[in-house]
Amino acid sequence: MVKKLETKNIIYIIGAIQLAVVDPVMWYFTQVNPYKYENAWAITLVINLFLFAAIVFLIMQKTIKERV
Amino acid sequence: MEGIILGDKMDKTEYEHNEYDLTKLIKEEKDLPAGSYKIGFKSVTSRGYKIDEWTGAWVATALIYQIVSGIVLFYYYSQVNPYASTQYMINNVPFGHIILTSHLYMAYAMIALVYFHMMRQWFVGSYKGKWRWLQWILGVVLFLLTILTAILGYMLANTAIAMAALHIGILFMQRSVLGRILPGALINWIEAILVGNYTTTATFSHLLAFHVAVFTVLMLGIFAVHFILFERSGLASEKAEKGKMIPWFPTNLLYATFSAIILVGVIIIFSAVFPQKLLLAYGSLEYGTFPVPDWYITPIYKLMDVAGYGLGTGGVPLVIAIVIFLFLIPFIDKYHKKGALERPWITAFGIYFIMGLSVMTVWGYSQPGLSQTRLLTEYMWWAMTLVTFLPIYAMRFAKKDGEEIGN
Repeated sequence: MVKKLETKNIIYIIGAIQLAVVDPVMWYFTQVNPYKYENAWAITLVINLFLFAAIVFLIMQKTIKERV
Repeated sequence: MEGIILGDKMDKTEYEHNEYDLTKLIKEEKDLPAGSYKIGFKSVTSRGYKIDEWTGAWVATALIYQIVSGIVLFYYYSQVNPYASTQYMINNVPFGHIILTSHLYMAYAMIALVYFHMMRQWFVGSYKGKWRWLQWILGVVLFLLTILTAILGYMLANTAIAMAALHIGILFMQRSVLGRILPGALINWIEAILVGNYTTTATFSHLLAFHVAVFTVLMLGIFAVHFILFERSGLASEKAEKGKMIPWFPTNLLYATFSAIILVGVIIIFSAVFPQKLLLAYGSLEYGTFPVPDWYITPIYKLMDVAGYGLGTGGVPLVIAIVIFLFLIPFIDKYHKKGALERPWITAFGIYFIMGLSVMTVWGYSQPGLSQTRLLTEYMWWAMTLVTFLPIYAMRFAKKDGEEIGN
């Protein structure tokens, strides 16, 4: 039996991915090697934004479902 | 009852009191679900969350993104040296290339979304009733301003194609409507206002002022009125029902933010993967190249080729007639019902418009500046008329037939 993930835990996982994967990559692109990977940095920025949006959506999911 | 008593107490010569208690702004509303607060704009029913109601929100997102990225580019642009300053943006400004590219791609997206928004309202028939006719007219003005601002924007880099466009614009003024009606001194004066005295600095100062100040401020102002009218009239496709309204905050705000993030994100990813290549500078020597204008201008060029009239005479009145038709649709449409098949002529014209536009765009892109014979032109337009009007009436007939049989 696959246990269903709680919303709370999904939010933690997304946050962990942001902190452990996306943010270090962004840091590498701008701080370690500045000016070299600007376009790649922009893509990671968008990924980070989408992940933030996903977190907000998961937090507000209950309210949205109740109303729409 | 309470209101009547209060009304009697109030002296009519006095102003009403200013309201300083900001907590009243977030007073609970009775027809909203429990626990919701009235912050911000109009509440809608769940119909308002269908995706086709959000085409205008995407255009607004694009406009805001254009203003923000445009301000950043404005810091680095120089009218004295337009091409070199554009190159400087690409090569030396941190993140300059991606900001410049996303400004271009968002302009493309904005024009495409404006068309999408316009055609959606056209087919749904939401340009009539209350203040919607005025909203439609302001929308057409915004559509023209969007295209004009985009053309001015691509002139700003001082590339060969930009100067070709500028020269064609000046020819337009001199040889067609304006130039033929107005006296010579006056047209010279208007030209001086629009493009200066033909030195690079004067020309680009004027173009820049039109691009960043005149047209953009006009667009923002008209958009504000367009939006206020929308808030006043509400969605065309829903009936406000008590107890079923969903408050603007937080659902609508979240929806708008998510769709904005997705649009901006997609544009930034495209700009990162396919960065803009700056075209050839004006006056540089390169043989065997033929400048092709941006895709949103090609239909107008091709329309003039295909009409067989050229730039000066017949082509311009044709384009003006199409624009006047767009303005007058709310008054031309005399049908009483809203559905697309209930308004066959208008729907057929809409499809005709889309088809003509796409055919002209593709054709203009593949064969710019090549005149066609009258026979081919006539054949094409009549074929397009046939394939737009015939199916609409066939579908209408089929629908009525189905209703008579009782499905």
